[in-house]
Amino acid sequence: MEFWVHVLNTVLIFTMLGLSLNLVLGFSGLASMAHAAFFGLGAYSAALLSSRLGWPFPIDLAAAMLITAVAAAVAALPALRVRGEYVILLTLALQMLAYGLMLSWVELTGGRTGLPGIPRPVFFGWKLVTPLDFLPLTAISAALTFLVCQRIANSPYGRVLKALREDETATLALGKNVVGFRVSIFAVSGGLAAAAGALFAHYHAFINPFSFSLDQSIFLIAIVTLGGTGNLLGTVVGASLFVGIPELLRFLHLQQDIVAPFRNLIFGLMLVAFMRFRPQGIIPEYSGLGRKGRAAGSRVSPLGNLVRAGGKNLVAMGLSKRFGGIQAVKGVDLELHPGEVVALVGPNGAGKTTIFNLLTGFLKPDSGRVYLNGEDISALPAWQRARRGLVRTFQDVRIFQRMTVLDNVLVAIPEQCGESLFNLFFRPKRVATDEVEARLLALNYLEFVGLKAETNVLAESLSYGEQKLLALARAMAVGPAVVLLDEPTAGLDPQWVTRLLELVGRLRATGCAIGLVEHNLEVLRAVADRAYFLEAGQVVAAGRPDELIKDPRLSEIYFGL
Amino acid sequence: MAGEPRLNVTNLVAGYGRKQVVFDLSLKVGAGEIVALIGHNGAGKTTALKSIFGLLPAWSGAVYFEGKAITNSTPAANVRRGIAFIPQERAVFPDLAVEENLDLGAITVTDPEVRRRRLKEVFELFPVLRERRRQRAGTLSGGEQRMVSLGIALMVRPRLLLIDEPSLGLAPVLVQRIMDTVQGICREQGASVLLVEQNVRQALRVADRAYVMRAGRILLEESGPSLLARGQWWDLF
Repeated sequence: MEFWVHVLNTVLIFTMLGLSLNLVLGFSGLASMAHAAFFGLGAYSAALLSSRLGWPFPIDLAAAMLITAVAAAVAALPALRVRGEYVILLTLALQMLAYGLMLSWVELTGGRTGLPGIPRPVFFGWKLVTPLDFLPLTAISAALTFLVCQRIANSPYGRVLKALREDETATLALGKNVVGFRVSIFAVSGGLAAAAGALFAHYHAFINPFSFSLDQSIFLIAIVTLGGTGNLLGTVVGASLFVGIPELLRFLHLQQDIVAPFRNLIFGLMLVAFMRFRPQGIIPEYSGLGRKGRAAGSRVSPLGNLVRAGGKNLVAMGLSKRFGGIQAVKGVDLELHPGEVVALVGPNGAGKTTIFNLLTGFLKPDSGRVYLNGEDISALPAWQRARRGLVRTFQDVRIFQRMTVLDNVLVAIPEQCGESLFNLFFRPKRVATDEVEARLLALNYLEFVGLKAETNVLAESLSYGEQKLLALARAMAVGPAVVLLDEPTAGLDPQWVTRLLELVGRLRATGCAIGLVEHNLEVLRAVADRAYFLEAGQVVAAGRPDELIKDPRLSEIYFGL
Repeated sequence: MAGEPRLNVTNLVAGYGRKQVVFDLSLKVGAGEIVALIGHNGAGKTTALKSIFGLLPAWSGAVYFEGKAITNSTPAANVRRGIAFIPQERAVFPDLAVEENLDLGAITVTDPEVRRRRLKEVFELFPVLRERRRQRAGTLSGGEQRMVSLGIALMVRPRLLLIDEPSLGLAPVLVQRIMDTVQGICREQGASVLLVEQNVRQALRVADRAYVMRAGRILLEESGPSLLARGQWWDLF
């Protein structure tokens, strides 16, 4: 009996660890190899504070969480500049460093002998000693961790995390401060892992470095991955299976010396089997999705209410950019005024998209400046330019594939109350009302582009044309004062081209300044007030589209006959 | 269409996951024929192409190539049979040079002389690729990458070419040139083309026949010129 309660306690502690790792790995897409280090930092902090300084139980746990949260936030900073496999390498280095310290800083950690005699928690004179005494504490802690993680995962904040996981560039283009989100989620995840660590230390009354090794980090990643990344229930199931099942081996009456290898063998086989038969995890992120959206009978307001900002002037002077030996853009001046549609046309490779990247801050020009309503924005990062109403779409669409259609638009709405962790936990009412409004707004944008029936399906299941429309709805949701559309009609059927033209016309009527890269001459004639003709990175002609189309030289190199 | 059609699709049903997209689709492409598949966004055109080529499983129905059933055979096997597919996305190898990308297209060609000749033809079609032959394909602009992916398929010199929106993101003058090239391949080498295209006017200009798709089903089959002559094909969508 006591043995089973012990297994249950272990499962609960690993559930906490798995849940906290899932926030980083599953929801934010950052493969952190340092989770065992955070677990260990929490355990050592609690152990030292309680045994050496005599801090009472819940206080040392809180302090351990705080220490680890700060450490995790600092650890996240270098990982911000890098992506993908480099995050793995950096956190791996961190894990090795922490493990090395635990082993070698003997006067603090006790080295390989570890720290014995960690005081048992005492609640109102009741001392927790047996596994059964601990069970309520671990159960409540695990439940709380689950609720916190769930709150974060299903919030506007969690939505931004998922967007970051799907496409960082597109998230920046929506005006989200990527750095802030990454640092804070690392801190939260570290803090929760530390809580598990503190419980672990008090539960065993003894810790040594071997519980916090790289193997442990990898084991935690396995729990989350096999349970289902991005699904919290999956992590609970994963922890139960992978911590619980190997314990059953004890009943096989095996010789002591073969138990450990046998356990690893079983564990390895389970891993391989899961990868082969259920790579998306036991409970996938979006289980039960894929139906057509519920027919939400919400009111639809006219577009006038949907476009919030007025237009702004966008002026670029002397923009130049060189890639290696190629002068992609050379001395380009251009202006966009409110209520105007200006097209960039020219042969493929003339530098049109590069100019968009320079204007929106996704590339740094070698020289030249960009002004938005007179303000010099040349030094601002992309997300701050988006905040000021300079919004763009991408030629390769870049919608968030593994998010629902509705979430793709919702995440774009600026300054949502629930994007702050503080508000999430301390102003839940405001977050809730804000979310209702945001949803209504997002549905309106979807209605406008004709995607309302697809509200609750994953964006990846949309056709290419539908994805383009979704990208447009998303850009509108940012509240643009200037919007730069990179080939908005490519791949759209004639009916939708007409719809798009209508949309651009309405956007213009609200005073928005619109820049356009477009190869469709009918669209160009119908919608553009002016056009710049680019060739080899330079503006070689400018004027009304029909004037440019008539030019015999431009016809030969670009427009065709 | 005398004899065995090059491609014969009967009652094809396909989709993604549990979502059915293509319903009971039947079509034929004769030898040397250009057939356009047009329809609104989300009609199932791309899904149909992918399941014909073997990139998506066909739930039911059959696909015959030159009379032989190839339903659900792998894309690799289909390429060896002489079928090429040009996807809508920029299907290039970003870390390889432009010329290496094109060479990979000719991987089934053993004669180096043939390889060189085809490379020259691709460069004639897209002169800008000749200038950038040593540049990494990933550093090209979006439109130039589309040219590379079209070029790769042209190096294969297939008997059946499945093209998904060749005009996407390309300068108007290039769209005309590509359509003329497609026509040339069919007229001179007897290749067959099944073409999905949103630029309906350009597609119908070169197509012998066209199928109009709507909500996963074939709505209409008509000869290219007569559909073009209707003038109000927009209403069909």
